[in-house]
Amino acid sequence: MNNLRNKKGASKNSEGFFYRLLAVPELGVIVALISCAGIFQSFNSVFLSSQVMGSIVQAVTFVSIIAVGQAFLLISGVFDLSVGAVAGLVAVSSGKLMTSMGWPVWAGILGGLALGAAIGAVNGFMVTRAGVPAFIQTLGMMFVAQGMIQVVTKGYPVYPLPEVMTTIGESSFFLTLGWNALIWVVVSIVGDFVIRKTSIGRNLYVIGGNAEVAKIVGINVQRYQMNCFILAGTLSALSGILVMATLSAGAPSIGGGWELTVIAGTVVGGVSLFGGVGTIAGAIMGVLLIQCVQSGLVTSGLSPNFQLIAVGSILVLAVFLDVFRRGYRNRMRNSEKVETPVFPLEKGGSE
Amino acid sequence: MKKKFIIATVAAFALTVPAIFVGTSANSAPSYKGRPKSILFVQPMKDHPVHRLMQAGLLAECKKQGFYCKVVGNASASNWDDVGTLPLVDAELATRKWGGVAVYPVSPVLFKYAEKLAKKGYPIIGWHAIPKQGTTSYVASVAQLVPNAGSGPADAICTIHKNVGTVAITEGSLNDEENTKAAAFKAQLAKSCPAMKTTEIGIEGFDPTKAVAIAVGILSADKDIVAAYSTTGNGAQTWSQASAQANRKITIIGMDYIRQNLDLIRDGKVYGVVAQPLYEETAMMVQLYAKLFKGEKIKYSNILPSTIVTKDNLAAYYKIVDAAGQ
Repeated sequence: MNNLRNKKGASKNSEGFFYRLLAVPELGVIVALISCAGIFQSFNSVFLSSQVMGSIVQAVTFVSIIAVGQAFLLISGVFDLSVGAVAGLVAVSSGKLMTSMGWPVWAGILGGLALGAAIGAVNGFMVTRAGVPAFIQTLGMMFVAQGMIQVVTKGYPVYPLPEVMTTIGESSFFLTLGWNALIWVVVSIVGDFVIRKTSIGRNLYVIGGNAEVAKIVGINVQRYQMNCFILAGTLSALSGILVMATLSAGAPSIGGGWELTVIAGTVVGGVSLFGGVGTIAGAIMGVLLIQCVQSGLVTSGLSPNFQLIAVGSILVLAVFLDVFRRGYRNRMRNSEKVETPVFPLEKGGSE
Repeated sequence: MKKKFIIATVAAFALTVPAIFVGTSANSAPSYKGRPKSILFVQPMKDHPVHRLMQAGLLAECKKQGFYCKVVGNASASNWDDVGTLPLVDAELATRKWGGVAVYPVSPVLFKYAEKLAKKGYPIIGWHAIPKQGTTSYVASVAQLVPNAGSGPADAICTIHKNVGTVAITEGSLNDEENTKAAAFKAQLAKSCPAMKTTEIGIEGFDPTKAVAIAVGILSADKDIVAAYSTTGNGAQTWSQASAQANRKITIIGMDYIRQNLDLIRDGKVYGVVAQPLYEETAMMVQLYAKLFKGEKIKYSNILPSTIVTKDNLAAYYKIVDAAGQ
């Protein structure tokens, strides 16, 4: 009779609540987020106020939208360093379409999104078909996009924008949060659903875990990764357009340095740089953690000279917690010895 | 032996005396008369809107004076890279014989580099800050008195708030110029309105979205803040958005009359900005080079006034930004 038991003779259901808790991939970043919130609130009770929370969410929406695309890429085993520069280029290009070129606002927005998707397609083609390493291709694209920003703007912000864009940027439905936050929530939920609950997501994990195995089982690795690059480019474009609306200007500085923030946030949130591991929810919480730390240090009154040091230290701590969680869970799993099940023999067979 | 000694002594004397005179003439002020009418303008982060305004003044005056002028610096609107700018300058210097090199006098890296260029015979003129005479290789510099950009706003805020409340101070980044303005602001406020406090200096950075979150944090952390002073060009935009998000009406004084800032004043979202003479500094710098190349003497220190632009005097500054093509 089959009887799976651990070495102590208890039933397999002894995994229990703690073990299931350790299995939550976002546990590390959740613990870090709650701890930081608690600590900063104790330093200054305004940290959890609606204004500070609202400003954190407002600041995080743009980078988080890009983080969704970056998480898809990282899970599939590649990444994109050009996301910030693409956001900036699309912002100023879309702005120029609406102003100097006289296009309607909707056409300017669609044009911007198309530009982002096209850049993502170029990155995807060069990486998946031409074999250029993702680091080099996207780094090169970052420089190209940054240069294009200066060519398009000649250093001046694209300003003023049509009234509609200002209305979108200044919208406020709940606690000063408007269209930006709504779009962010929708993108995040859809992204997380796709990665967790669909075959697309499962295939991405397989590709990121082992691309050769993925090919053997019939997954079109190149097509999946190409589509991830296009997704990342489109989301970067969307983010750039939303920032432009919020600032009421296509500023040449939009997107500067975002690539590091996005990658740092997604990695802190448990997405592996080596592929095959992580979730969208984790990536977003990682970005949220970074901004919480930065805002918390401001409300705590810490000298700005020490803020960067504190941010770096807390990031390392957050990743350490995740590494510790995985290691502890693996040790717990290995410590449960399960007897080899004895299957009934088929008729005519022998032991 | 004695004869040899005498010959050696005379020979040494004969060689030394002319060398003394040569050395003396090398130490006297060099003449730049007749140098080519061209200026290489060295400015890191060259695409920042405030820097673009400075360049507009330079290029307009260069055109008027018949000079060939070129701007060189790392191509970014938000990333200051003075070290990365130097190889670009070296490359430009190799392309032609330049009359003068204008070097932005705001960092030790640039001072060191200017020293190297001065040794090669280039006349170096600066703008926007005036290094202490004798400490650098600059032959002249044009600027407002940087502390005035701090003391003027302090007096304005003091007058408006009548010695009550706290003022938030932020910089774009920690650098000599912004530190000087912030320090001058604090000192003047302490003098004019001793009962008013100031916050610890916050660093906005140059990412607009993050800057607003930082400003909201500062506002939320202190209920007594009644005003904000920012030493950086985007500060007016940062604080106007932050005050809207935090739902706090405060008096905001920022820096620089770029068009967006003028519009914020017009719309009542910001009290004023310090009109640093960005356009006029570089224009005057070209005029100084023109005099230098004619063999005329120029002053080392050339001060231009700075004022606070408010609703009352907006029109003149709109004319300048229109002329600059902003």
